[in-house]
Amino acid sequence: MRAWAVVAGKEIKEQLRSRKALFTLIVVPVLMWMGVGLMHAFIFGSMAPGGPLATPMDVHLAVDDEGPYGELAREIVYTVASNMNAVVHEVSYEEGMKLVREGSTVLFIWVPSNFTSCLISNGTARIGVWVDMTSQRASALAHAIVSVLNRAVAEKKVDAVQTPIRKMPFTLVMLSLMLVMSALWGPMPTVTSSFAGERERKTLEVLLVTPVGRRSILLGKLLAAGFSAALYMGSSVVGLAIYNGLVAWATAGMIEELVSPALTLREALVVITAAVLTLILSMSIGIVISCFARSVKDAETYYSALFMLPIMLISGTAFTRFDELPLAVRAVILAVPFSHGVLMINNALIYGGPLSAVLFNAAYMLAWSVGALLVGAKLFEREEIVETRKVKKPRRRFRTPSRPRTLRAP
Amino acid sequence: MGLYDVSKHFGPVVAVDHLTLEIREGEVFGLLGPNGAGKTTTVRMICGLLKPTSGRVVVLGYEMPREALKARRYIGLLPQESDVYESLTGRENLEYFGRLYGLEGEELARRVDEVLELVGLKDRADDRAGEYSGGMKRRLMVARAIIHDPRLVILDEPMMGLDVFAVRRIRRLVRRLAEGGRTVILTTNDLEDAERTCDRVAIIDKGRLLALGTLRELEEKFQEKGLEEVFIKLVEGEP
Repeated sequence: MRAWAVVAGKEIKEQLRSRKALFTLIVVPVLMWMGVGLMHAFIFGSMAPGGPLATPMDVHLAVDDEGPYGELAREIVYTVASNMNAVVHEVSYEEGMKLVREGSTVLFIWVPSNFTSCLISNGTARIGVWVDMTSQRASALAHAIVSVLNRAVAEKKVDAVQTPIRKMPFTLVMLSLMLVMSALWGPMPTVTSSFAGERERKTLEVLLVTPVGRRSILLGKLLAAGFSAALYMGSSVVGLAIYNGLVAWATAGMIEELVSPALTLREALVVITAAVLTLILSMSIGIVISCFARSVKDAETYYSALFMLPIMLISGTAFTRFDELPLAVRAVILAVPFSHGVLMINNALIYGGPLSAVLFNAAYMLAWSVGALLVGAKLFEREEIVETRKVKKPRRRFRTPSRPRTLRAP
Repeated sequence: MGLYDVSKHFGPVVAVDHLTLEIREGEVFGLLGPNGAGKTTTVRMICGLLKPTSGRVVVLGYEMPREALKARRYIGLLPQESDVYESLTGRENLEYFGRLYGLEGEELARRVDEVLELVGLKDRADDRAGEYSGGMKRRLMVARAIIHDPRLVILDEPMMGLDVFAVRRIRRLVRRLAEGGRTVILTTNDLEDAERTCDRVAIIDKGRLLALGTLRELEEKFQEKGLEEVFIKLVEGEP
């Protein structure tokens, strides 16, 4: 056999004997794409009118014109909305504007009383459209209504005077996503090498024999991980400032309704707070991983597998209004602690969520961090931290040995 | 210190089986046995890292592992498989462990110099440990085990990977520790080493105590000449 074949054969044999490698190579991608597929099925399925996952969206309409074109506009709004699984509620102009001011509607369309007369006399007329730019469905519906209405009035023209209920700061969405993702990955090298590294270097046993309590060792490790995480965050903030400057320069003069390229100080503080909380969370969970992983490689494998799915979920929360997601998806996203970094930024800066929602996001992440650290402390107390053999008695399943086997191998 | 009817099970595997040993203060005690005999498990129970499945372990009057934190102040360990922090210098490695044992300031500096001298690493003390040879690293580990001047020193295969000069240095160091009133537990596969260094030895296999005593006592009892013959007779005679 050729030497390269011998080497390849041995490598493949090792890979096939490693359950962790097989789990990462075979099970994780299936689970990951299944999760993402389920989520996308829910998200896109919710928009399909006749689909099994249809989730209706409420929109508001005020028609003050009693002429034929006013009636035509009403019919078009109802038809298009029905096709896109939206429910139209007719209100007065005053009621509609109240909803807009409160941010309680994602789309309000007003057909003014002179709509028909203007179209007949001038060949052109205006309608008012107030749309929440953070809602992809509302934006798409508004666009569709105006297009169909223009086709229906043939050679005449309807101008939609569009006013945003909320702006859609794409750069902020991208930025929050990237910052939170980097907060997830940033501490990995330090955290995975903390205990798993000591064990791999065979320095853990001698450390545990010192008269230092295990919780003190854990705290020391955590502080060291915090230090490197702080360096990482410091660099990220500098990078953020550079990013902000570059984007502000490049997008100067763009339509403000669509893009808010540069972060204000308040926005930057919220983004950084969310990233720091995510960083603490990933450090705490990483410490737990490091406590039971036998080597740095193992710890990195677990870390990657555990963090990949949340990242896919986060990508869904970043570009879709959370309250437009079906209930089941919302429940899954809310349960995953890593989603809350992005949700916190979205609630505070994009969707105008209440302060209680922002505080809940922060508290949820902190609670998970504390919980993970307590679990880590418990794991660190186990004998398995120095002993690779299982200490617990196994369940007797088939037969009981008459006499315990004695140990030969080291 | 002593182990009294101590057993340790790992699931169905019995690593230590009703072991009873008493070790006297100021002696060099050899814990001998083939690979997998239960030496390292015994050492880990003495240090309070593992809890006996049954029996009692008492170290310097402290019940292990319940009072392990108090006892560890007086225990120095060189594990069989260990390493040093390669990105730190030899001196920094020792300072780190010295601080963990509560040493500081001038006392720490003096003690670091002393142990570096004892293991013959003073000239290379400020080099990164990653640049040390295998033997130098092992000597640094021995220095680390005695940095806090412990009353009980446990050396698990200390001569492993050392050249003849380093072995001689460590043997001298072990004798010197015992003369200074320190108790030394030496686990080894090297019977010549044990014969030269230990006051008393225990031979264990499959977690059980096969023999305990001075070399002369064992020779008389088993009618063999030399520790190697006694050892082979006992271990080969095991079922």
